[in-house]
Amino acid sequence: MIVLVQFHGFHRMTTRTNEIHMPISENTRVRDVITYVSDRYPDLELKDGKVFILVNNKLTAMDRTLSPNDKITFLPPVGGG
Amino acid sequence: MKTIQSVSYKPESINGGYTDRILRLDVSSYAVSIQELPPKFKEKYIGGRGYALKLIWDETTKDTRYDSPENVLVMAGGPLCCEPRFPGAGKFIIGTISPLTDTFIDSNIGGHFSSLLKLCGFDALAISGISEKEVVLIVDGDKGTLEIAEAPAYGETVDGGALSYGEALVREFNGGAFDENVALVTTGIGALHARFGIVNSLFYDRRRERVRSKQAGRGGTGTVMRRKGVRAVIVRSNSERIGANHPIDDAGVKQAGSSLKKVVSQMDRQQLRLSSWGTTSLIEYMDRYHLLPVNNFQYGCHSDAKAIFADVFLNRYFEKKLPDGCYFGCNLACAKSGEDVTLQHGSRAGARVGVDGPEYETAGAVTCMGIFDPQFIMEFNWYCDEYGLDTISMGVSASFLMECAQRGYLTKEDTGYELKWGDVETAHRLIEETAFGRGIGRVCGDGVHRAKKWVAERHAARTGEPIEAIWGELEKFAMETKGLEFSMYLSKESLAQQGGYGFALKGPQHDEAWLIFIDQVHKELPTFEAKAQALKWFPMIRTWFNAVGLCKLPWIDVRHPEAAKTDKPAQNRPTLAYYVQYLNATVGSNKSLQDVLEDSERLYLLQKLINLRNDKGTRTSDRIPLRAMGPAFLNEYESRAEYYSDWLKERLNGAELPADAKERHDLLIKLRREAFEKLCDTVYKEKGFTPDAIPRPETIARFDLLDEKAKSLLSAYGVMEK
Repeated sequence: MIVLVQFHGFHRMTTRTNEIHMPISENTRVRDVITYVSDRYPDLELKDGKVFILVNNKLTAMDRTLSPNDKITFLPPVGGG
Repeated sequence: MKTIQSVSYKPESINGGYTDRILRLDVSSYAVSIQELPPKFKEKYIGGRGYALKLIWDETTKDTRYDSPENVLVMAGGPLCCEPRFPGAGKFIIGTISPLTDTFIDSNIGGHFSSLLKLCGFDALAISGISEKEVVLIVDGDKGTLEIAEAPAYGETVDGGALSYGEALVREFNGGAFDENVALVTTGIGALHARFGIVNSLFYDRRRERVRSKQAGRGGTGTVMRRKGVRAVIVRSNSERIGANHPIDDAGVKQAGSSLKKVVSQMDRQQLRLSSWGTTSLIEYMDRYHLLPVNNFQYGCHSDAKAIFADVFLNRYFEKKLPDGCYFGCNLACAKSGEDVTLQHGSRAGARVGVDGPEYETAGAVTCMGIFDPQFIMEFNWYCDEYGLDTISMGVSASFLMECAQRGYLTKEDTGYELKWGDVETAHRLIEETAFGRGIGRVCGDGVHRAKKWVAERHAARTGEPIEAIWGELEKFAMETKGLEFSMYLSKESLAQQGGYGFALKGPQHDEAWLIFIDQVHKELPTFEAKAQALKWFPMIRTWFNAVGLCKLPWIDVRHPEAAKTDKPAQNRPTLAYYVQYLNATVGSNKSLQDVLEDSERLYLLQKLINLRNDKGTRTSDRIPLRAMGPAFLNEYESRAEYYSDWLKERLNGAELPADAKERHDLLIKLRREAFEKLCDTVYKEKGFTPDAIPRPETIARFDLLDEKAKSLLSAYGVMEK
């Protein structure tokens, strides 16, 4: 089972990819995605509330369990121009 | 330059951010005078947009139009501009009666002009009258002279360009050299022919060794300036800027600035990276969330958008080695520039130019025309700056005409050539024609509100269809409210942003409210009441920046690390605390954030009174086009059919959806219209207005604005006895 982790902005430039597939089990939670991505891309600063985590375009709690083919994105605070 | 009038003066010193002086210029008589302000004036009107509002309220009437002699063009910073130790202190506003909206507009603009004007001894410059010949005003704080001169001529090409003319003028004024202590504002040929002419703020960047520019884009302030016959205003002062405000508490200023700079330095690189990419960093996020305007706001994303993401500009155009920014000391420094860009199209094809931009909005104005070419975005930016046209209004007006052609309301016979989406040649031709007032460019330059009428009449004459029916269809996609074109964010899926645009006093410019993400993405405003509270709070603080001479980007686009621990993280209150500290330390006050909000609310209500006086203040004026609140036509609905079906299901609580797509579309539009009206009811109540959006007398009285004119106005609207 996998979920899709999508990157935008400087996250995309840092990882040099738009998307990675992350394998999950029945108990994988959102916070596990942070650990997985941070381990692979240490230059991304995703911890300590620095970014918003969206699952399927909705803000979500860190302890939510993931489902197969969920799409996870990281969003910095955006206040507009 | 040939002098018409010259006056010697002694620049007033600055104390606590103020000189308490306004430079008054009547270009009908060339009278130059210095207005001394009573101490209470600044307590009530703050500065910047507050000063402009007060002058317009006092000195114009409901019959004043943009080109009336009594219209006042005000350029004002505020008590907090000028100080390099605080980020974003290079802002000022230009306030006047707009050629587009026929009511007050204030457009904010960066650069050194207002800081140097303050060093010359003035909190504001106010120009009234109309000059028979084009003139240049020179404010020289070093020499202590105020001079009006005949605007020199340098040749047709240079004279037509705001940037070119400004450079030539500075060279003549400054003995052939450029200087960081000289700044100026200019207009271009576009301001003569279009209602959305801009004012350019020019300053010398010694690292780039060229003159750079920022713009007062919205509302046609440049058109007013040009109509008054003022070609340029030059200011010069060699006075030191650090500490020039003579703050009451210098250590407090230093601490506030240092604190904010630390947050910017730490957090921007983890968030939007504006210091690297400028506001082009927003393009990718807007595309991702269906907010990037495409084909006149029909769509919110496009498969070609990646061709214009921020890294493209960073890699191809932006000069990485030289610092940016529009004023000393700002470490967000998001005013990006490209050097030696070779123009490939237009009247100056082949020229190598410096391009100051693009900002996100300029890129969005280009995608609005269906174009995803980064080179064109750079050229569009440059030509609009040089010709003096607002990129937003240019893009939206052009897009409106393109859609009229798409839907058969305009033919090639009407326009002279085919107006096509995504066509760089078409767009370039339209820019030239708009700037020079030729062909269909004359219609484009009038803006969407007036172009609608022209299109409806042409179509009615050609087809015999009733004009009312045509008008009803055009209104669905004519992206303007109160006469101003929408700025570059799709509000379709954010009810809060629909309100942000509809209720904005100047028209649908996002500087009052940008609530899209907290509403549509973060879902932090789930109820009407929550939206209404946000639609009251955010405009108050956002417009405060225009009263004090500061840029709001270090606050709104750099989130303080402690903000997440507060109950409303989007308000970013830990950062706002630095602004309040800077204010108090500069002027010697002891205000809280709530006090700041109330000071701003006074100005908001004064602007509301001007709108009421000028017939732009009721509920009717707050209505937005159908496309701003949902998919106006079936093609837009079908482009996101699954999303809209889910949206309907959520609201129908399990009831079955109509099978037919058109019926679903009709149902969705009905629900969207109802929601907007309910939002109006909730927001007006929150703001202390009647259901028709008239401020109640007690709301006005609370802010000491209930003078005889206000009483008479509210009485005319039936909310107060005579």
